[in-house]
Amino acid sequence: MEEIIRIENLVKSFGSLEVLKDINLSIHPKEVVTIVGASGSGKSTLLRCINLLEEPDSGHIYFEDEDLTSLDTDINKLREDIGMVFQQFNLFNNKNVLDNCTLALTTVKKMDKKEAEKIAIKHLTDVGLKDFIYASSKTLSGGQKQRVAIARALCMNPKIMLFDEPTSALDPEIVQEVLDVMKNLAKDGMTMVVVTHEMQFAKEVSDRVVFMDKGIILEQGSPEDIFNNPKEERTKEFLRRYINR
Amino acid sequence: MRKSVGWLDHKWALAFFGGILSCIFIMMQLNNEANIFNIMSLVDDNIWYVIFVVTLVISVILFIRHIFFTKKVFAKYDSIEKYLCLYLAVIFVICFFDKVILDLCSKAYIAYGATKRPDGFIETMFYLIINSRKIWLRGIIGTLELSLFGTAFGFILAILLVFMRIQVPNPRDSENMQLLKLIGSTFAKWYVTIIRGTPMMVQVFIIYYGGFNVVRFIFPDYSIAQINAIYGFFTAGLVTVTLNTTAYIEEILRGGIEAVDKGQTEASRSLGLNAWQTMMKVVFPQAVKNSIPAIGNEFIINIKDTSVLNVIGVFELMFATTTTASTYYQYLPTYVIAAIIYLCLTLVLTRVLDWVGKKLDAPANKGLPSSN
Repeated sequence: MEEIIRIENLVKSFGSLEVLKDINLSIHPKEVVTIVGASGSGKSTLLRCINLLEEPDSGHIYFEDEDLTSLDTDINKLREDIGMVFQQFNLFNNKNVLDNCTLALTTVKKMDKKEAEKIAIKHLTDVGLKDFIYASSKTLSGGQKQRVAIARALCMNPKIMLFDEPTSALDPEIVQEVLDVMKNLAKDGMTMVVVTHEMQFAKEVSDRVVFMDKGIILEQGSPEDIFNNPKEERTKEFLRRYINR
Repeated sequence: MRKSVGWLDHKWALAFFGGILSCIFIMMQLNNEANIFNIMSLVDDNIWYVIFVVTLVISVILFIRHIFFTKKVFAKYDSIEKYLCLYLAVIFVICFFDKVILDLCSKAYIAYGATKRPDGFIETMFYLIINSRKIWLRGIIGTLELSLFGTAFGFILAILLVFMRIQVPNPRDSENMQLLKLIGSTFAKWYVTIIRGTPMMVQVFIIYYGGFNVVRFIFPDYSIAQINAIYGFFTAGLVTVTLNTTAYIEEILRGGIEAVDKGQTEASRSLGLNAWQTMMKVVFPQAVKNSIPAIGNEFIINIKDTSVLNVIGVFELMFATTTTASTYYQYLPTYVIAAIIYLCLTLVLTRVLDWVGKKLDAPANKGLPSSN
């Protein structure tokens, strides 16, 4: 298929506040799209609409040509193919690291426990956490927790990964370890949509940068276009403030 | 250096109080308030006069030294002060043992051998405990059974009720499912409102007489005794405690569920788990763990609240109390005994529940789990 995600005329309000005003966006397979913008521009809301954590007020979202917004779609089935990583990690408090990763495999995919653990250990090793398999999530640092969260999402073998400000809650020293994991993912060909303030990461890793402002997509293009030749005034203003990070 | 606040950091104060109390006990001894068991009489009265004066003087000295003179100048007297405190402690232990412990033993001994009610308040209490012991025991067992089983069954029913209560009709459900969810959650809401809004004493009357009429309807020619064999006072009492506890624990669990961080649900749903799986595997286990202290508390509350069931004749502790009181025409001592028994039950069970809670690693306070 041409596009793995196609968003058409998306509108979302929280009460009287219009957060998304007619969004149109396409994501292509193996593409890494970074969404940047000021706080309140609607970036997180847009991302959360893609796996329907937020229900749009109107418009359509197509995942592999299936309409997520239709009432007949089995949203749980589609979510198996869409992985999400949160700013606050959201690891399951009542489970250790290994069980965090195997829960979805055993519950949703009805996998055998041994098989699920094999997959989980492989992904945890890939993110560098082989020694923490039986650790309780309370004993981990922020960077380790986020890497577990990434491994947990990858265990379900998704077709696309969504990242909602994955490093915003981390100490500056450990931001890099998570970004490195994400870089490797991109290199391996994963389709990724990342909401972030890490401009360096956006420049280096993305295929496309989308700049949002006040609920609309103001500008989008390759990293060179956006960072070196921004067209809109608001884009230039935004980059001036963030470009030194 | 900060001043410390525990009693053991002010040993002089303990010694002082001990000294003053000892003087009071010695005065009682010198007034010949003798018990059957009395060790202080082994020592001649004149010696007690001397001890009285010495103890009083030492206590006053300690008091004045610490209240009025806190300068370090007196630090060199600290070792002497240790011996003075030790002396006061020893005298206090002797007097306390005689005038309190042995006194109680004497009174119990008198009550044990008495054929009719003795004079004296504490003797009467012992007499009532000993002579009515079968009734007291049956009452205690009744209270414990009602509380334990009532709380346990109530907890199970509360789990069912809270699942009904948290259902929210979803546009993606079928029409019938949406209606079922609506009926279920509305029923749960009203059940809790009504149970929590009426006194348990009223509930037990309704449940007993209501149930009685139901059985009579099914078996029109049963006698009262036969109906009570199927549905008696105790059964009605247990049903009442259960239904009552269900409503309160449902609210506890609902609060526990709502206190679980939304991020847990979001992460679970985003992995593809449906609402039921999310609740069963992620949210509810955390909610229950956080609710354990409150549910244990509900058990303790039930120990006391089952007392109202005595009005329809359920044989628990309060029923035992009123029975004993009217049998012996003694009211104040009997109710004091009841209070002491209730206090012992709640204290012991609170300690046990705290220990169990620690073993289960339940949070000590109502801490909200965070997803970090």
